[in-house]
Amino acid sequence: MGPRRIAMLLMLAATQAWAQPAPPPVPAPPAATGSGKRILLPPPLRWDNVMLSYRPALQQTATDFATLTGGLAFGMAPAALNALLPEPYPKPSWSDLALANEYPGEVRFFGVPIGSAGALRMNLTACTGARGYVVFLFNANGLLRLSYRLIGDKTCPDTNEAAQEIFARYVALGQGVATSVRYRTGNTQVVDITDPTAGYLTSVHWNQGGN
Amino acid sequence: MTGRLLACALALLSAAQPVNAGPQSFDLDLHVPPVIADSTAPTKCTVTYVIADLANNDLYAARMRIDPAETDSPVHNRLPCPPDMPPRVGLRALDVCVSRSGESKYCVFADMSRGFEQRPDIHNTAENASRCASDKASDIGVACWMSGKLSVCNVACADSPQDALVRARARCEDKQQHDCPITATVPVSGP
Repeated sequence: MGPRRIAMLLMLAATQAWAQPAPPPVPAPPAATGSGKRILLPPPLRWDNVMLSYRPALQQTATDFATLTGGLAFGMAPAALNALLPEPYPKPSWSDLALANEYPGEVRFFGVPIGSAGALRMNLTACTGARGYVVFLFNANGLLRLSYRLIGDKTCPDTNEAAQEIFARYVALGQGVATSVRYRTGNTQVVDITDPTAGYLTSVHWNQGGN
Repeated sequence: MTGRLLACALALLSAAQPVNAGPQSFDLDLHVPPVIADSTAPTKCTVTYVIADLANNDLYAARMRIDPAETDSPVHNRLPCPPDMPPRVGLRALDVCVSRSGESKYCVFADMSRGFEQRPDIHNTAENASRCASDKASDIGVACWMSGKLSVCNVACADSPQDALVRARARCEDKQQHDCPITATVPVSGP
């Protein structure tokens, strides 16, 4: 290869480096709806031709999670997360946070009303109950889980639809990016979104009145 | 000569560095879509299963995309799907629900037999009737009736969302001997 060609290739490489915008994150597909029933759409799997092995069909990353949540990332410190909230929690320092007793080891948390959770409210159309809130749980490594807790009350006796609406948004993310689980305890619908590297902590469920 | 050219190229490279090092603007006003799909390319095989989570009353569409064989050729612009699906693919479809509900006993195939409300377990569901393949249908529909808080459903495949709903409802009403007013549909190949 001649020197002129080398120089040309170097110049082309330098140009390409800044001319290409970063690929946009994969948007979370909306859940499909029919007359009265919602079908949740997890990301597809891709199988080989003889259907012996599979892998996720979409390349999803922490960026997709951040896009959905208004900039959150697992591992984030309480203060950093708090700075993203439209109405920050007054005392986000580690020692001021309450202990979450349902977890083994030291897990601390703070919560905000769902109405003031900004992007995490997910543009809900269904009712959430006046006391619905989002809890942020942290261990020594940072943000471990966000947990939506939608409590039924007189104005909104059934928060199932809202929980399903929130859940549908997270189901579109692969379990390798954010592990989404939903369940009911007492009159509360819970949607837990957990760091996929959290291991056995993923299986810890909150019990209304039991922790 | 060589040295001068290389020096020139390196100078250009270093001139570009400040642009690279700073935060990039994502609004480059290029006015081109980031991904340009070939709309004339044949549809690759997707087999979509509808899975029901009985605990939360949720339905999932578990989409399985299957790589074509080199010898496959499209029919009506659709690549063929395997005529038979191994049970492991259906089990992975169930996993979509199990991993999100935490209880495997609550996750079943969505095409349910008559009397499912009396014995709501996976043995009263049909794996093969709960899926549609993209070489045969473009849409998968579900129709259900409510037995208390439990949705009892059936599934159908068709080549339009409207047809999928009509067929699912007809199948549900025929099989369950109930009116099945709760319906939903999604494209087999997904959005």
